[in-house]
Amino acid sequence: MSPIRDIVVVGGGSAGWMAAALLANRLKDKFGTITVIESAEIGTVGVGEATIPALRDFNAMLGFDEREFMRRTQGTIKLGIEFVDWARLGHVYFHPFGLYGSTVNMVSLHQDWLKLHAQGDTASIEDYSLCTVAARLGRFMLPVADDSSALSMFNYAYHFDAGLYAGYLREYALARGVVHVEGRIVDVALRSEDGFVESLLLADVRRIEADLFIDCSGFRGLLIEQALKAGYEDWTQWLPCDRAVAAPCENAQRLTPFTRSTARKAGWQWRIPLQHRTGNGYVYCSRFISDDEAAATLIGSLDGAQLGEPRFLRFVAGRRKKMWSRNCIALGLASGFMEPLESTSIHLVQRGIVKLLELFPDRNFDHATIEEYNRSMDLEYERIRDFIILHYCATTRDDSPLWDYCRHMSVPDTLAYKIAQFRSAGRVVPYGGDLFSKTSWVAVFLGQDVLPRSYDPLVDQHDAEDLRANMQNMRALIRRAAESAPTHEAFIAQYCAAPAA
Amino acid sequence: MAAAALTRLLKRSYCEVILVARPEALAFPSEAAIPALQRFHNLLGIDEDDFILNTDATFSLGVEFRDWSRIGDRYFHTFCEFGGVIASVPFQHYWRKLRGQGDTRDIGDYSIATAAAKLGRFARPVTDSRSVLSLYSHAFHFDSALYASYLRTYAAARGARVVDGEVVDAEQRVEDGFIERLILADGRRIEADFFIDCTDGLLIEHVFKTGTEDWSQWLPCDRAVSVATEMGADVPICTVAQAKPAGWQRTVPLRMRFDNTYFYSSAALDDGHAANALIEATGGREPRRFQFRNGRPRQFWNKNCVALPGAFLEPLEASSIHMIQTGILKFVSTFPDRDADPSHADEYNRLTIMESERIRDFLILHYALTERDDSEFWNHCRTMPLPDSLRHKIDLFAGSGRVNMLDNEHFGEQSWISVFLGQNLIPARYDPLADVPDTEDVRRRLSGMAAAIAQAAQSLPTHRDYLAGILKRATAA
Repeated sequence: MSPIRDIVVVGGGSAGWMAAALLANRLKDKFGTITVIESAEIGTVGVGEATIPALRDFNAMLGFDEREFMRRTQGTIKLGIEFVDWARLGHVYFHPFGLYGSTVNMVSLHQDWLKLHAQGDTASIEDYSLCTVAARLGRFMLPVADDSSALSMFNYAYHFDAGLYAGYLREYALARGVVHVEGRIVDVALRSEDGFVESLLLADVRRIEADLFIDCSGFRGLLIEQALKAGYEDWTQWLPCDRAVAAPCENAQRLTPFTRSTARKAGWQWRIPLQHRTGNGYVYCSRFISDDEAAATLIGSLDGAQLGEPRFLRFVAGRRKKMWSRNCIALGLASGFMEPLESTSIHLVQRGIVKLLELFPDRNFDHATIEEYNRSMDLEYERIRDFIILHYCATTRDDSPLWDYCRHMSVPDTLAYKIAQFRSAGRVVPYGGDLFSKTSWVAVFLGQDVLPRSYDPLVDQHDAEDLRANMQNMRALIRRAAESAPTHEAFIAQYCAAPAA
Repeated sequence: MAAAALTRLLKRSYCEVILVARPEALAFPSEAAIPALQRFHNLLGIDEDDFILNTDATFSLGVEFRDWSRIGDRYFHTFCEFGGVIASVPFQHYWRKLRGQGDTRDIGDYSIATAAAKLGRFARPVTDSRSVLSLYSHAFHFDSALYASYLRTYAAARGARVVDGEVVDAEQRVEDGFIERLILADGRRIEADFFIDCTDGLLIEHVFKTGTEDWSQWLPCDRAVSVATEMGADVPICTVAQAKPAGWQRTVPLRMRFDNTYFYSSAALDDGHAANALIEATGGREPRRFQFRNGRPRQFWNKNCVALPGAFLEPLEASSIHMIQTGILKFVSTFPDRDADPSHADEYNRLTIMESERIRDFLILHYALTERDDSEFWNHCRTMPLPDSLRHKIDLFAGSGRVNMLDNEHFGEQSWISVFLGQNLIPARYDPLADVPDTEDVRRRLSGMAAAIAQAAQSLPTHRDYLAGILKRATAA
């Protein structure tokens, strides 16, 4: 065995500090030094302010206390995402973190719903989701442990300030021996015999050597692309948005326990409520709108007073062809970019680090191990890509060139098959490596008006009147459960209020 | 199995199940199952003791492989984890690390099922998860004909119409080729909307000409010959799979007898020599012969017909019964209406093809990792090119001791590890994170585990006594 000695993490955004924190936690002091190189001259991109429930696992691995974490990061609760104007103008749906009801008759609940719906029943599928009902009421309480309770049937994630989260992780990492180096990298030296990264040269002529390099340098991929030429697979044909403009504002409305995503003429706008402010941004396609017009649209639609100048970002949807090349692993934006429509940016960083720890190399950098990392991460990226594309392609909007393009574009085969299967009888194809559950796919399919031609024939085995009665009871139960929770504001105030600035 | 499950899962008012059974089946005389069969029985509401008593069944903790890697070697593949995860790192890495430092313990010493199997001891696992005796699962050996008739009775009692007869042909609808009715040898016609083909391809292949994908380049056995012998004083708790110069011999312990079957390649051995070799090895008489070809239909579900299990894979790892079981459940989850819209078949086929290829890879592994060079048969197996999916799995384990799980894997990580290590593929390295916990502490924990396992295995009754207990309770009741 020839163990890895020193590790260098390039870049100190949320990706870099998440990596440093978990590596420090798992490697203890048995390996060499973990160094994070961060340049104050290069700003970090804080698009990932909304998360998915899996982040709770990451925080648990680090041993974070939830209340402290939320206080420190101005955190709020997220029960899902509200999508406005996506399927058609004036239409709203919710993608919840939790199941639709419970299974009544061996088939998924949405199959029962499809039958009732086909018979003219007007109840929405959303009435069977505790997350959705509670979110609409602006209510939240922590899930109870008792499985038999309706209040155990949901999950939640957070909204938080990504900059504060990075700071919190940094404090954690530094306390566990991670070394922080301030400096700008001006050269990457590759080993002549095999092209492995050997050392990094900083502007102040310090040279930093390591066995393993983690590239969290952002879109440009300082190591993975500029030095190692890993290549980039472009997904713009399916995800044409290539810019974003972000502008926070003061909290004006109630503190919603969900993210809102509103489809716009040339893209979509996010709204992420934190304790101290609301994050907003417009993700758009530069072919169809100018930067100025995008910024004006954003500013004109804020709920409260604008805070600071709008910031612009550029990107190309896609992924690095090799996320792990030689002795370098790319995380975060260096590994690929997908717009934060389903809040997956931070999650992909998390998956990358966890997978790296599962496949942790030694200095031999076994070829099959690298291949396995790339194989499984590619799969995860592609499944998420498909899920995001679904929001764009399943629309009837014809009010602008972007939506005309999306309505007609051809989609990846994997997604086309999944849509065809759902259209046939509401079946959700289980692909390996798919982050999003059946519920998530059902929510977006139905939310985007992808209605199956028929339902699972086995639903007809059961008595229709019984079914109707059961479903009605379930709706009432969920409604009562949601109403029994405190408001989101009250929950935050007593659980994790951040100290006033 | 299909008729029984469908009568359980489909209401009679919704659709009628007709079971057309041939008087004598072509199945191998005995079957070994894996623990998942318990789930099938639970679904059907079958009492396990009742099943054991009615099918001449015994329990199984897995398979003992003899002479596969090298003549004289043996290893167990049981339904049990090795050791336990320490500091988020899988167990085999610690085992590999200590082995590198001179520790000689076999990985099987950390598996309660392997320890029990070596001693021929068995009891059903306990439910208290703190006990070592909760850490394994059990499966079964049973008589194929008795099991078929047991389930037939079950299906008939739940309303299946049972038709005795041999299907010789089918009539197809002119416009789309869908099967309309079956034609029996005595001229009777049986109509239905949907057909499940549990023969060796009568409908899927002979009527539909679906075509097959042949896997004999990797799994060259294509013949079997079988004899029964008397049960001895001890009832083994494992299937034995012993490699032979032109294939392998399976010994399945049933309650009243052993079923001994030699699976071989007809290219390497003629039928007469095979039968003689088996008779010589076992002392059995009246050999029964079988022909097969490892492979799968191009489509498991074609038009209004599903083939169950469809793929043929030699019973080296007891996968056939399981493929039937998962096939039925997949069929129910993609259940069609009378139009049999092809999208149902598409999804069924996608899942089933994946599943069968994963099992195929696992079976090939046993042959591919041999070091034997004592026959043409083994020379072929040792040097044959492998499917890419398997090649990558082997390379990953060889380099780092890790196992990657693909979509629809039916054999879990522990199974792969059992066979990799059993076939002497010792990884070049272990997970570097296995160096994070203190080595002496790890050594103590492993010694403790091995000691607890050895002791717990000794505390179990013999398999024979355990079976006798079930029999006695049944007679008393």
